[in-house]
Amino acid sequence: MSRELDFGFRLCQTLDRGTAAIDRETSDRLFDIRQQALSRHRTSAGLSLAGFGGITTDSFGGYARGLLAAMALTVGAVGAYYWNTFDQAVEHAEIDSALLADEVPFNAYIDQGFMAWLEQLKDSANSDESSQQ
Amino acid sequence: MISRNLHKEIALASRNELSNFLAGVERRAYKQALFAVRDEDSALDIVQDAMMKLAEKYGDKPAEELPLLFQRILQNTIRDYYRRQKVRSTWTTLLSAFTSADDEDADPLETIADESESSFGRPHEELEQSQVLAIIEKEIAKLPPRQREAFLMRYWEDMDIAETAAAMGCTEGSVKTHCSRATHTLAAALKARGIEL
Repeated sequence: MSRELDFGFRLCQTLDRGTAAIDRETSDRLFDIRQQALSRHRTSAGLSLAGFGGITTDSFGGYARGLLAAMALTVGAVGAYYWNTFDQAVEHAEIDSALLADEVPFNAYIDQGFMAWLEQLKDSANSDESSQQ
Repeated sequence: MISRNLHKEIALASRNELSNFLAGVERRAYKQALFAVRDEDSALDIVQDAMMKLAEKYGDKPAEELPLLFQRILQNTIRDYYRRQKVRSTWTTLLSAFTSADDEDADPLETIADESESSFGRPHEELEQSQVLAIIEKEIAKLPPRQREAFLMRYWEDMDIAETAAAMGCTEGSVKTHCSRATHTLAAALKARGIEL
């Protein structure tokens, strides 16, 4: 095995002399090729840092604007929901107070449709209360 | 500002390392490709492709990883060249096979002796060395591709068995076998021509 190694390395020493004897034209072309390759050289550190820099400087405003818009939309939706619920509560309170104050005509109590509507109103009020709890 | 300068220095160091590596390996890479494809322009194209790929994809790797990566890319590029050649022109391959068969019949020493007639005035020793070199290069070019790859990576690129196996995508046992066969073939060929190293 050591003879093999010795022979292999001695053979390759001879090959080294061959590389030294490469003609000028080929050497120049190899130099050009190397320069072209180096011009394509990119470092991942540079890329990642450049990417981070891009985010911090160029894209940050865009991200912030998007985030603000989403927050405003969420706040608006929640506000509209609560405003709607508040309106309904006021309406129900008015009906309740009218009933309690006997301001509803007597005929209204024998009107089946009215009674059904009251029941429906009562149920929906109960469900609203349970959902708020 | 400080960090930007630091990044610039890191990039510069990496570029210098890559430049030094490529400068050190380019001639051997060219010869390796030339042994494989036996055409100077194609060999230069292969070296160019391999260097471009290394710089673009692995330019930021530590210097100690570059030899293995470059050898892997170079060997793959040579294989891609073989595949393209095979697909494009089967008949050309057949023709070149006939040509190489003729070359095998010819005595390399005779060919070199003919070539040497034109080099009037050279010192005798230099002539002898160039003859020996030409014969060795010819014998290496004749080796089966995998044996040649293993032999050149192991002995010329000074890679150990594990690195050679990783670059070739085979087992360490296969590398040992390829190297052993290549060494014995070359030793027998040189002995047959009366060459001793």
